[in-house]
Amino acid sequence: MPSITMLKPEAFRQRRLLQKAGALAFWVIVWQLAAMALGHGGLFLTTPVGTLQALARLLPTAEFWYRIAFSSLRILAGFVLAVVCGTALAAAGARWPAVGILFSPLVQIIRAMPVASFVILALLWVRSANLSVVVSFTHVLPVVYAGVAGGIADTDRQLLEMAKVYRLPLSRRLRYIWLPGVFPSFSESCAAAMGMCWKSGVSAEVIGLPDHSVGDALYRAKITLTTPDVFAWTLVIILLSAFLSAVAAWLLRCLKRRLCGEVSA
Amino acid sequence: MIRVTGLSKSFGEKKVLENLTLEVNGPVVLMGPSGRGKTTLLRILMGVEQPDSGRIEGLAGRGLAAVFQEDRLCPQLTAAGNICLTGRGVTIPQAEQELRNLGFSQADLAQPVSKLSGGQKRRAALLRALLCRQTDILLMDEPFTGMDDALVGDAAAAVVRLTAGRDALLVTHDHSAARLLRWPVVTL
Repeated sequence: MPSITMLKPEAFRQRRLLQKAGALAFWVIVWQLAAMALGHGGLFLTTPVGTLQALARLLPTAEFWYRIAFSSLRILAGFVLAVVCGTALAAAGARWPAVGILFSPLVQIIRAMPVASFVILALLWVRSANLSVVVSFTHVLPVVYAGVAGGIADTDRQLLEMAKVYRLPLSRRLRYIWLPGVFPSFSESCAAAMGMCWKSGVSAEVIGLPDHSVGDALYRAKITLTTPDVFAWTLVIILLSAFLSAVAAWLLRCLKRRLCGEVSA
Repeated sequence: MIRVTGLSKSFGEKKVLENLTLEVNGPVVLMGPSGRGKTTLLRILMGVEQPDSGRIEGLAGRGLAAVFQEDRLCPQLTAAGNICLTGRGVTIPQAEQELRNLGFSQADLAQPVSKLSGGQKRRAALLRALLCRQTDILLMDEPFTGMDDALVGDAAAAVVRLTAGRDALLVTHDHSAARLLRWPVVTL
């Protein structure tokens, strides 16, 4: 007779963590074997160890941190601007449908436009140093817009009707009904947007080559065939994106708890 | 006093209310079989549904509180937090005292509404309407749903006590609850 074993939440979490670590270890081993098989001293594919060695070489240099700060600040500025504008635009679209109709083609075009086309166009309008701000902003705006618009559509209509009957002030409707309603979709879109921000921002830097940027370092590593550095910078971008996504999710959760009067059971 | 004259409402082909005339002066229980338009009448009085024809007098400029067919509570707030959400004079300690009178424990008071039972949510929704000060009209749609007999008795006593001096229209299928209220009964 088959038996079902119920795991405690803590044991379940540990098991999931082990499974994830196992999967990661598997792919690192595959990477190592593939790099060894390709040979050529890691010219085409650097080993994980080679990547970590390159990272260890970059870490103590001031230029590495300067590049991180330069790109992070600009990409984050694009992200914050996109969150503010996307939220405002979605709210305006929900309040006045004409606004939504007006901006819909623009949002669709931005969504469908390749990063490279946009970067080349943007280079005509802004200095290359600020390219990543514009590119990450424009690529994240539709994502946040869709997230907030979806959240507005998902907000509990019955609670809104209750608020109307009780004539709740706008501030309370926003805090206790709209915000909790919009939050799940909004935070999901922000997490996705943060990843996209880095992808589009660094792509823009690789094309625009602003001095002291991560994209510039990536490009230089490529043209000098320093493959370990390409891998090291890519690893840094992935880690930064994941770290900042986690920070953004944590900040949003704190903000929600504080603003929506959430009670923990 | 609320005066409803010749009120009609249809949803597509289905006539829900037809030429209804009714006066509500003080508290009234509204009874009748399902589908007779009791909830629709309340929704029209709440202003969330428009009648096809007819006239309603006595609502203008008067504050209104309601118990909806569903609880319609903010899930992240406590029961007292929901009661005070209307912001019409009642304080958290007052709301908690009334909730205790209706069987809430200290632990229940600390829980977000999403963790409460159906009956507890119903009581919180009922008290939200009853404790909403500066309102002259109370509209209650099946406020005793999900409560056992003992709780219905306590809830009915709270309804009578806290409705005093206001016009109230309470819809129920529960004859024993209607008897406990001792209010005039209108059958649709």
